[in-house]
Amino acid sequence: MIRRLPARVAIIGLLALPCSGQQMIEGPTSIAWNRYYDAAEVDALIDTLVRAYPSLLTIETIGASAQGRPLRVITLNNAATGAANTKPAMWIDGNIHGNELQATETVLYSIDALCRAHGTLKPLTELVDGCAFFFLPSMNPDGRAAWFSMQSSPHAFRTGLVPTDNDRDGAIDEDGPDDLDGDKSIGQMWRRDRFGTHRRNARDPRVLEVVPRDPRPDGSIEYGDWSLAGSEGIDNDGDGQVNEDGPGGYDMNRNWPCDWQPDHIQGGAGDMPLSYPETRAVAAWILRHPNIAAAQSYHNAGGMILRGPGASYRDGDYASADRAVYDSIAAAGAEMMPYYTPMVIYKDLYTVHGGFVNWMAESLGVIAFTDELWSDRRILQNGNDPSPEQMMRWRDRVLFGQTTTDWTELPHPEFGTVLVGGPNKWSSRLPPPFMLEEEAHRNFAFTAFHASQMPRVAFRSIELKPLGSDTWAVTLEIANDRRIPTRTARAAACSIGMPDTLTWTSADSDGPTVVAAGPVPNRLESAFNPVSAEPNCLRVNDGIPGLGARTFRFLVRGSAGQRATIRFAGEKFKAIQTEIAMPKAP
Amino acid sequence: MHTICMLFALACGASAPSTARADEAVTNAIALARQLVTANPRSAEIMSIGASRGGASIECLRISRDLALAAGQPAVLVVGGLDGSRPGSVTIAVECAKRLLADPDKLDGVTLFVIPCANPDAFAPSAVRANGLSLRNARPTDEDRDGRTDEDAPCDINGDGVIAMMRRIAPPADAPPTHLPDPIDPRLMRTPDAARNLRATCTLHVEGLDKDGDRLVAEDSFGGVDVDRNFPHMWREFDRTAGEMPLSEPESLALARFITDRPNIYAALVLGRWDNLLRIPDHKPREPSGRFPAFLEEADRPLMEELARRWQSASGQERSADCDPAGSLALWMYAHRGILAVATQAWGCPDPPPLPEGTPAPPSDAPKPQDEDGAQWLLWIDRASIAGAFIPWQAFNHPLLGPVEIGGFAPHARSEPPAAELPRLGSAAADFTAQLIAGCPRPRLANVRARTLAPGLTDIEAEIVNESWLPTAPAMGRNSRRASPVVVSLSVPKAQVQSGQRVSVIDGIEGAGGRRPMHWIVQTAPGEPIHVDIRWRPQRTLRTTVIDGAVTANNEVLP
Repeated sequence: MIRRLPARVAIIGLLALPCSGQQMIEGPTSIAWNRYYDAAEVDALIDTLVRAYPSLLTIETIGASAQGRPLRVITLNNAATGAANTKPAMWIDGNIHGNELQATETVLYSIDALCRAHGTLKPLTELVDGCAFFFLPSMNPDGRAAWFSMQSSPHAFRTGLVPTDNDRDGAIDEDGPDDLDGDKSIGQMWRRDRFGTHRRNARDPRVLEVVPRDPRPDGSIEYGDWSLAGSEGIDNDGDGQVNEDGPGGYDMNRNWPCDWQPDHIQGGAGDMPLSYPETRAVAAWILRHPNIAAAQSYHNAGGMILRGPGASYRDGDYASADRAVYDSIAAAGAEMMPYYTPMVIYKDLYTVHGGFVNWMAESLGVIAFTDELWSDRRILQNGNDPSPEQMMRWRDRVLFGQTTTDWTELPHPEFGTVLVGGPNKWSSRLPPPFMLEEEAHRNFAFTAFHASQMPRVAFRSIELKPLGSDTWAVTLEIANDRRIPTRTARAAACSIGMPDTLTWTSADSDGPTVVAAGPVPNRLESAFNPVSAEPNCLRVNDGIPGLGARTFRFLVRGSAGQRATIRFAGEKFKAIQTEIAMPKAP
Repeated sequence: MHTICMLFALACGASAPSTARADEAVTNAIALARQLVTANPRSAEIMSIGASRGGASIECLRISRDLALAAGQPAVLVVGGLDGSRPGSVTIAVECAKRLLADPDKLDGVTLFVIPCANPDAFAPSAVRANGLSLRNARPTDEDRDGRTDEDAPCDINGDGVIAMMRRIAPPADAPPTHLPDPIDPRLMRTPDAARNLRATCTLHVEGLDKDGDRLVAEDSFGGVDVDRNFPHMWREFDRTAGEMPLSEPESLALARFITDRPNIYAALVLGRWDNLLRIPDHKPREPSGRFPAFLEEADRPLMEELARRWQSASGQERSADCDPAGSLALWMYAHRGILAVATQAWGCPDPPPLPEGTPAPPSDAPKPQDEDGAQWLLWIDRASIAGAFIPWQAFNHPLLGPVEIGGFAPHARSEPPAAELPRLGSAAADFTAQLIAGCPRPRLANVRARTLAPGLTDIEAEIVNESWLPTAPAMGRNSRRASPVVVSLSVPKAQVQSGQRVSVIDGIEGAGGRRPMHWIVQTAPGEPIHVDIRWRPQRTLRTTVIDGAVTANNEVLP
């Protein structure tokens, strides 16, 4: 007899269940995921991981950055289940913007997590055994190295380090920011101004508050003491501008050969597509790996799961079938990562020409996301962005002042007395160390889900129907039980890559012989559409849809006992094949 | 329809009796270029700017009155040999160099770069002789996506030595007819017109077989990528002839890097398929973002008209063929690099010789074939008796298509000038290039008026003037800010500049007296010089000096 419990007791019981506890999986590495690593340390971690998991990981140096740092792609593949190029593969990169640090730690965490779980956790073991992963932890090691070693801000060193004449005066990188207060960060700079827009808050002088311009009762207007003068620096080249030509000064995520536009249309795009050593090396490598079926590019920040297009006029590049795939994967991500939101780049963020994921999706037909790691909504953990006051308290009470520099009054050669300080380079865009591991894990989990949706095909049914003496109709269904089709609608529409092929190979020289073959548009109907040539090799440009199947038919002549191999192969899934023998005529 | 257009383009690019020795002509032209260097060691040198997909060196002549000065001078670029339909452009480019070397006064102060053969694979003997189709480079391509490359190229199936066109008579229902011989001149093809009961009777194909057994004729041709469609501006995505991405080809990448590495190039003459002189582009179409013109900045039209007038005066050319410039070198230089890039086919359909005396002229209201351009060519071919330029349609029984007729314009017949014309066209190119050199922009400080306002306070008024007829950059380059700017700077610290900018970056200055006013008030100690420097990357820095309100030097060339 089942005794009914009062509803309230049942709910309390459910809440008390230890539903989220789990022990860390033991493994050969002990990497701290609650800290950030500079470029050299990242290289050392890569070596550590490859030494720890030699049966799964291999390294390939695919090129070098502008300053000569190696670009190292780590392949994760279980060779016991096939070579990496025989499986669907996922590309995961980070840190194309040098300042977006946690992207790299998340890539490294993902490698460690997958390798550690292999052989222990069934879902991840199956994932690793069924596909390959290609990781590039930092696509911009120069920017990363500079962010750590030089004075910087949360937003600086997004660029690579090819010297660039941003102010077009003939000199290169001659007027970058200057660390006037010596805190190794580039903070804000306010100039003393008796008609200023701001004043320091009386209770908390760290706060510069706007002075209202409403006239007083006597008609006079109150002014502040300070006006914003930009970021910390001086006019090094004497052209009247401050910090207008710093190191580098471009955006490698605008340099890809998809809707690439020159600098006067897309700022930071570079002289031509793939004009930087990093982007050229990566593109060449990716083009040599047509089995890449999924891609994620880690960035920061904003808690965005972004897909293309980057420009409104390319909206049509995403057919409804592809949009459905993107939507379902992104929705899963939004559930796994609190306060992350699926977005379309041009519509919900801003216009981007020449973006990396746009190239992957629109030029190569790969389901690709940009994952913008970390959102300030995670500070309060209630879905809201903190107010300036709440942010100040967060920095004081949780971060204990580590991300701010006290204001310092200094003489400035152009502006007289300036006030320098404020939030330092650690102050935004990055999760604090104690939240970094969670950030990395949740994003890894999302990426693993994305990878798990790469196409996996199987013969769902094979039926032989006699059509006469030694003549048979062989009808077979090929199913894909994952969300991503074997060929995206984009790939099919634009003839990207090679079509899937369904081939019939007779074991005997005299048969069974294919006399006609083609797709069956409706598996419940008997009619099919024979192709006009080469019926023993059907080219399936549309592929097999995600979570769907397609039906094909061969009309063959063969005598009993003759055998043939039917093979279905394509660029982005593991090929399948089966052997059939001609039965006796009924 | 698109496929048919492509087939026509292929046929137009195939070899013909008149160009069967195209590879030899190109080889001879390159040999002549080397001889020029040997004969003029102080004023010409040859260098390689890269290698083609097939491994051939892409060579560039660097020419200057004195090579020792070449590096610091403004430069003009001449490019030929971009595609195999124009082997004559290689000869014209070399002839241009030869004539200017013979007249060094015309090279005064300017360096000339000549890349005679930018796409050497297109003229490689193996490409020309084995396939006849040599528009592109040697990259193997799988146009029919069957996993094999270049396995079903067009070929000469009736043994007349030419790869021409085929018209399939009475095609089956699953390949319905698209064209018919024009009733006015059955040598030409036209599209059907139901209102006039003109029904399609045939389909058009490039001459060839079905070598790979896929029931398609000549659909996977020899190579490759069309170098002159592989540049980034308006690049045609997923057009396989345009490459898998912009600058995917070693030839286009080498050219692009050569040009971006040389900001001293202010003008270029491209001898190729596009023509922006006789066919000055429409300024209204926009590039995809809609922010800039796609082909021509409207303010550049008068300049293009003047350039066209000068080219026509030099060459006598009156007609040219229409060509989509998307992805072309010249358009990229103009739209993305701010270079005054002039594109010409150099030669167009000539005027037909007059009819023999006493022959009645055809009535002016006589009906014209739909293909008016083809009709114009036939008029010239017929009256001038150009042998082999048009191949009469001849019946042939095709193994796959059944009854066909093979014929049409011979490959290159409408793009390649007769060999006897090449020296004259080389002379025209030299004449025109000399005008580009003579028109080299020369921004300098003029009308300088300096005075002392008060002790230690100097007022300077001046103008940056470009008296040359060419601008420092076309309006496209000025508006896009892609061209080298004119940078004007004062030597004194910024704190001493009471009025005006210590450093001014001017996006460009128009030609024919284009000017920008400048005004400074500068604080100086007695006797302290104020240097005003004009920097424009193609030329050396010019310095004007003012001391105590007096101009003591004007536009001195700094080393």
